[in-house]
Amino acid sequence: MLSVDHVTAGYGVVPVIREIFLEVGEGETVALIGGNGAGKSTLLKVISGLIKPKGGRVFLERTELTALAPHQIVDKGVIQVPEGRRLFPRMNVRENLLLGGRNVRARQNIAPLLERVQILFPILKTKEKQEAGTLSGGEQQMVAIARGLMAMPKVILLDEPSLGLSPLIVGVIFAALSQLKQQGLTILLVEQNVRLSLKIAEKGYVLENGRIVLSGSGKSLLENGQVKASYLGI
Amino acid sequence: MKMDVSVALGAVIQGVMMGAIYGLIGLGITMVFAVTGMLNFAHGDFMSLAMYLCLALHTAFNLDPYLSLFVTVPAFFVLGLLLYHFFFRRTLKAEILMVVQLTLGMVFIIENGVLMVFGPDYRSVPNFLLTTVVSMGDMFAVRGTYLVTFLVGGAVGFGLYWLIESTDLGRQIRAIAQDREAAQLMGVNVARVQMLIFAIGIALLGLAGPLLTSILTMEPYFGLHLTLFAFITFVMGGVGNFLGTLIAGYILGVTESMGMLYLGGYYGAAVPYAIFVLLLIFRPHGILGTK
Amino acid sequence: MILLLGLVLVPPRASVFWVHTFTMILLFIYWTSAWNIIGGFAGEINFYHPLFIAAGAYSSTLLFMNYRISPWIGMWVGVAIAVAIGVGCAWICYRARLPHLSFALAAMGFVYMGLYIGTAMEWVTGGTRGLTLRPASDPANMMFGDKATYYYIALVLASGAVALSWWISRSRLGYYMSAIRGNLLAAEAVGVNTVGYRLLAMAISASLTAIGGTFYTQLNLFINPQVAVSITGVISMILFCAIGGFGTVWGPVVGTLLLMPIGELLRLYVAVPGLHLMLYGIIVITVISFAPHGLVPWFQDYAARKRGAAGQAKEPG
Repeated sequence: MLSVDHVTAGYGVVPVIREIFLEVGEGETVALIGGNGAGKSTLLKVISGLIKPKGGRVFLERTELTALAPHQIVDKGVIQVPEGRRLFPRMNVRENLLLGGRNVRARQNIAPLLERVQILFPILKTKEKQEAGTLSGGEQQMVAIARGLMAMPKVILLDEPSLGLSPLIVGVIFAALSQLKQQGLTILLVEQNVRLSLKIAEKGYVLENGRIVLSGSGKSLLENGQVKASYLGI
Repeated sequence: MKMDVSVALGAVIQGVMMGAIYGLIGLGITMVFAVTGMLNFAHGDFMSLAMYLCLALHTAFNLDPYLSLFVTVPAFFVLGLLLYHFFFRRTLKAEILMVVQLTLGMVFIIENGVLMVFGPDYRSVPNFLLTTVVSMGDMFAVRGTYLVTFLVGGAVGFGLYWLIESTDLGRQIRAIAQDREAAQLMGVNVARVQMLIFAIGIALLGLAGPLLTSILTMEPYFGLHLTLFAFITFVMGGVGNFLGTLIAGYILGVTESMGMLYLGGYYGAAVPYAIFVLLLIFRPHGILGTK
Repeated sequence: MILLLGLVLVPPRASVFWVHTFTMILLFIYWTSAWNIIGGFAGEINFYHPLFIAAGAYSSTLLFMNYRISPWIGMWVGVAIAVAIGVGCAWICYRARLPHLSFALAAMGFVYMGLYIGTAMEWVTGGTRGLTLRPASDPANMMFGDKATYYYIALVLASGAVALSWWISRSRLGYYMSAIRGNLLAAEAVGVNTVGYRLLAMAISASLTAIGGTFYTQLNLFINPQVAVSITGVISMILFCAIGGFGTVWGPVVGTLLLMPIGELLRLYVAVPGLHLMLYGIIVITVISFAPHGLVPWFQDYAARKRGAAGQAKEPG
């Protein structure tokens, strides 16, 4: 559904990511793992249109996304939940959610969408009027994911959802992700928590120093010696 | 002594009325800053331009400024769109420093253009309300022109505030102001909103100009004064706090009229600026803090 | 660049009018270079210069008129006051943590306040009537009968300012200032004392400008608040600097030399007031549309590209 075709991109002269080839099938959950600075967030920025690649192309089904503006890519259904949550701090939870659902397709269905996310994360209802900047890390992540869901995504890109959260909350988040996966959502998951993300993913890619060095099914990567050594500390 | 109270009260009322417009002009500069990150040095000069346009329309067609309003507001909206599209759109991408050069250049062009066409003398434009006086009980009377300015200014000001707080466009504005990249990820067409806000800012000046022709006397170089006043409300309001800017406008209006009343002349004119300096020293984050 | 230097060094034996005009032009080069130190090198656009000019002009003149102290000495009082104003106001603004361009408008606030209070204090400044000096030939008190002497002094001042700019651009101070100008937050993160260096730049700029203020008064023998605290003047300087190139050593020179002669000619031969200023505005907008960083950097780019192409042509295939 989403394919990244030999994308090379960076911020200055030297590219951060090189010749990235990646595919996410419909309904699949794909994990992208790698250390800090490997280029994971850069890739997501390219997919979302925030950076233009120096080479390569991005496709959603048959539509090319590479040259589109970020808001157009959102309208096509590629939604990113950015690293660090990036909620609008001085707006309340409800307003953040409404912003999430403002694209062309979603805005027709605001009421049912709101209901659905509130069932997924009940605090969205109870803390509706609270300013987003005052929420805890875990709560913010829930709002961020919900905000992404409000956009009626065809593909959702999650950038490090477990970052900075306690294991308990991470468990809650991943449980929700499993639920969404079962509902058929297509997910590209960028994560540092390798174990949990490979468990939930059908397929995985390992990104090191800007290149894909390994790929395979979630299970096979979990048992892969290199992966175990570098990322699982085994 | 009793007359003093009445006079003072009159000055306060007058200040409040002017404040409605100051707040509005300040809101224009604040919104543009929040959404685009730029400060338009020529802001006040556009209002000056609107006022001189009213003068021209009045001289040529005997058109009352309050009617000219219907011409200037849409015209300035379009002007804002055009200016943004041809000059500022590329500039913002390149370097914010260029905005300074551009807007300063515009200051010189507008101020001297006006000087060349209208001459250096102080001018003003009469309108049909000039002699109307509305009495409020026994205490004092208010000139019709001030009242209209206040009502329209206040209404538009708070209308805009409502727009920002309660509508989708308002949410987009606040989103861009709080986190531009995240706003892009929400599907907000940042470039279009920026252009729109800039045009609204200029259109607001096209509104304020005609309203103030009956109250202020114009001279070609006073555009910078106005920019400065807008800027003071911007900082006083908390650098990006929309409600704060509106309130700061009223404060500025009152301090100005009180200053003129009690100190008069050049000292009085310096009062608002002195208040501004005091504010910078003692309460730099503005009266309501940053939003 | 060396060609330019040669040109300026040729002193004209022309009419008094031209000598005076070029003296003013040199003075503006001097002032624009001084502004460039804080505005261009340190990247801190501001409008304080009218206050500095006034400080220099009024200090020396008042001390001379009331106490018979030579402007050569009074000048330094002006410098002290200017530095105090510049550093003080800037420090207030830095404390308030205003966003970048707000610094400039805050400066304007101080300037207008100064202008109004200054005009109001007639007993000191002479209000709009101003202060007038009687012309005399009195070198000890900075008055010269021969206008050409003023020209040479202005030449020395302008060259000095350009030399100082050149020295700063090559020094550690210049290095820090360009870091601050490029990315303030990054510079602070790395531990550069951004406030300190900017205040230093402001102090240098203020001192130079104040000296120019004294010189101006001695040249024109008249000063009043409107003339001293001239917003139009400082905007002109900023525009000249913009056209030449902010933060470059020759930018102020190029910008001023390109624009001011034309402007002065216009001002005197075409009786339309303000036309020359409008022209400055139009030229600025035109120039930065194709050369956003000013003419000097654009020319350097162009020269580099030509050299690059020539180099490629020389290489064997």
